[in-house]
Amino acid sequence: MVPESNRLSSVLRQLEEAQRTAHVGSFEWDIATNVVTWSHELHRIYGLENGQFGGSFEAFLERVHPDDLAHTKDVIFTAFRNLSAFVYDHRIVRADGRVRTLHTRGDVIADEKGRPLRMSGSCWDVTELHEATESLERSLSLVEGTINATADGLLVVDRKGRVTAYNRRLLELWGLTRADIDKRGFEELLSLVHGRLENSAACLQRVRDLETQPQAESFDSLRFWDGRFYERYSRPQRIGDEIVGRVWSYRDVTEREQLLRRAVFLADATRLLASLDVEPALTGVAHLAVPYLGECCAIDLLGEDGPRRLTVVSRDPERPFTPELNPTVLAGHPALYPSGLLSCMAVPLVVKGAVVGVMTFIAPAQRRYAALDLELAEELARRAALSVENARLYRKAQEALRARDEFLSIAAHEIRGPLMSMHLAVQVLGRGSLADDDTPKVLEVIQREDRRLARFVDELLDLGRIRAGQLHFTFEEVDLAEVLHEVLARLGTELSRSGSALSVSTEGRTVGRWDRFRLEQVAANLLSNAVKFGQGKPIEVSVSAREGRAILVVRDHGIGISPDMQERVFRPFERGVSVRHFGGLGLGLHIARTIVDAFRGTLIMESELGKGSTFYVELPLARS
Amino acid sequence: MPPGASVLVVDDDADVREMLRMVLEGGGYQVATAKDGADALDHLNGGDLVGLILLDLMMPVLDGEQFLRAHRSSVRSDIPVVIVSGHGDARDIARTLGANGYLRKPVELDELLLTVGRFMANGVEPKAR
Repeated sequence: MVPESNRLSSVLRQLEEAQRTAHVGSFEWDIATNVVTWSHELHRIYGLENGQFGGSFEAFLERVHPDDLAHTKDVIFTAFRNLSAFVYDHRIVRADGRVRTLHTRGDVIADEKGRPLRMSGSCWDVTELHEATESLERSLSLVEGTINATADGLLVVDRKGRVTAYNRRLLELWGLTRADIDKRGFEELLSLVHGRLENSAACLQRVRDLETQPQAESFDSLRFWDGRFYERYSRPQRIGDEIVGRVWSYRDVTEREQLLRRAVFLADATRLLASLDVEPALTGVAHLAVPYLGECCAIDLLGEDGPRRLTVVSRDPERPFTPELNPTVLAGHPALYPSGLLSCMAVPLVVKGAVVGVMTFIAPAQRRYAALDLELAEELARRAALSVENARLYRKAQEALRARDEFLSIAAHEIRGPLMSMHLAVQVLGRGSLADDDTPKVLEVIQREDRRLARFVDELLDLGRIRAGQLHFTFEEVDLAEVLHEVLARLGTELSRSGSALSVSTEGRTVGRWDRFRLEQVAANLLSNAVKFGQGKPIEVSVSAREGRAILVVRDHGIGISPDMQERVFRPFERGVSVRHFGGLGLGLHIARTIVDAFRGTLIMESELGKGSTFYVELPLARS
Repeated sequence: MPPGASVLVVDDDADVREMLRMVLEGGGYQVATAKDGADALDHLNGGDLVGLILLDLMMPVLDGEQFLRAHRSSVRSDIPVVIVSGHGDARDIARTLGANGYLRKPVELDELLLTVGRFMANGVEPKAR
């Protein structure tokens, strides 16, 4: 039999023991006396030796962390008022200065009248638990924050096909609501969205394959009917070593994909346009543009005779389009415009400020062209225009080469003529076998051919100077009428041999500041031209002054020049007639116009095929 | 070659015509001239006796090539034609057109007289090779 007091102290010891083992301390506060009693373990929790605690409510409050003081008082006084139990956490500052968090459960004991007598309770140190919980909360909030902030849509599915997590982006990407997902499994979700995919069969097959390979990772692309592109990435979800599900992530790469396709399209188009055969190249581009840029692409080229439709490509050959030319584009501006219910887009092909062609596109029924489409079309048009320009330059270069070759061939012929005459003349003179009355004729031939050759050489040298920009002038007072008479005198033989009757008229004072030698050249070239192409018919020449300008007119009634050749005769190596027809290098008019231009004058012609030509030279009398 | 037959010189260059005329007359031949292919056809149509045609290629109105085609299909196609041209490809052109010979401008006097002599003495020579 154990005495009562012994039994009590034994129970108290056991309690102390239990408290120490569980690290639970206890307290009791006698309200009437304001004595607070702490157990040994509670002393230890506060880092105090037994008896070091002051033993009052105030002594307790002194050890509460200042930031938790108000809360502590609030909890305790509320418990007093309500005579209720309480549970709360607060931080304390231990004797060694360390801050710990305590979890406290307490109760209030009242008398029969409801007046509080005592408060007692127990505390234990939950600092580590607190820290662990906080860290877990932080991790969870970080994870949640991250998955909701990511640009990828995330979906986590367990091995039974139940959706265990997803983020907001997933809802956006697939146009779903929370309700859509919350009441559906993965399979149902798949059947909900896969109809939107162009490659849905392959995408579904990938899901099936992964069902049998839970450890596999996978990556593929989803192509939507509406033109969007998503990338899909999938990897197993693990807890420790165990695979518990699968994480699917989706990324919208439409913009990147469109840029890529745009770049590939432009590269393909540019490759086609590199050809100098520009019309087949443009036709190829129209085929490339359908269906990428629209249901239809038409290309028109604008020439001197107006627009000409080069090609029109429609996606459905059974229902071909015939888009009309948009007037805004003909004026050189790109345009987005409706045609009936369809959206259209047209861009000009501009070369050196001139519209040389138009590309017109028609959008698929459900689509409206936007600024980005127009930008691409404009870029395409820029490249096409460049190709048109390159082809034109190439053609021009080829023509220039042809003209030069032709010129060389003419020059060879023209030089061989006088050479042949001189060669024969020198040989017959050398043999002394000529009849007496032929000798002066032969000498005359030699003299004439000598002059012809000298003129060829002069013309060639002038051409060289013109091309090098080195035609120099010495300006002095010159009378155009006087120059004309000198030239006529020099060309006397040539004129009389041609058989053309010549009439000359001069009127008014025609003195200006010009280069005498070059002015003679202008007159001589125009007269030689009249002789050469005049077919022996009359030639009229006049010089007059009018409104501060001197005017020289040379008119023949010979073969004339067709309208399409009239500007060309002023270019080097070109003549209004075919190569074989008339002598001369074909440089005369080119040289004459270059000189007149340098005098700030004009040289123009009027001509009618079969009726003759008239050349007008106008020169300012006072040089400005 | 029947007596009285002449050499027809066809060239648009008056000085060349004049020199050829003097040289050939000096060599004892009768010479007629024409300033282009059309003029030459007119001359032939006039019925004058022609033993040889010396033909330039580059000429106005009707050039050497056009003249040759017309001549070959005419009743007087038997009259031999020698091309006299400064053209770099005169030999090939002569062969292509079926001319009987060619002389390259500027022509050597001896070569000219020899060639004309052969045709005027012996009638038609084999075609140019």
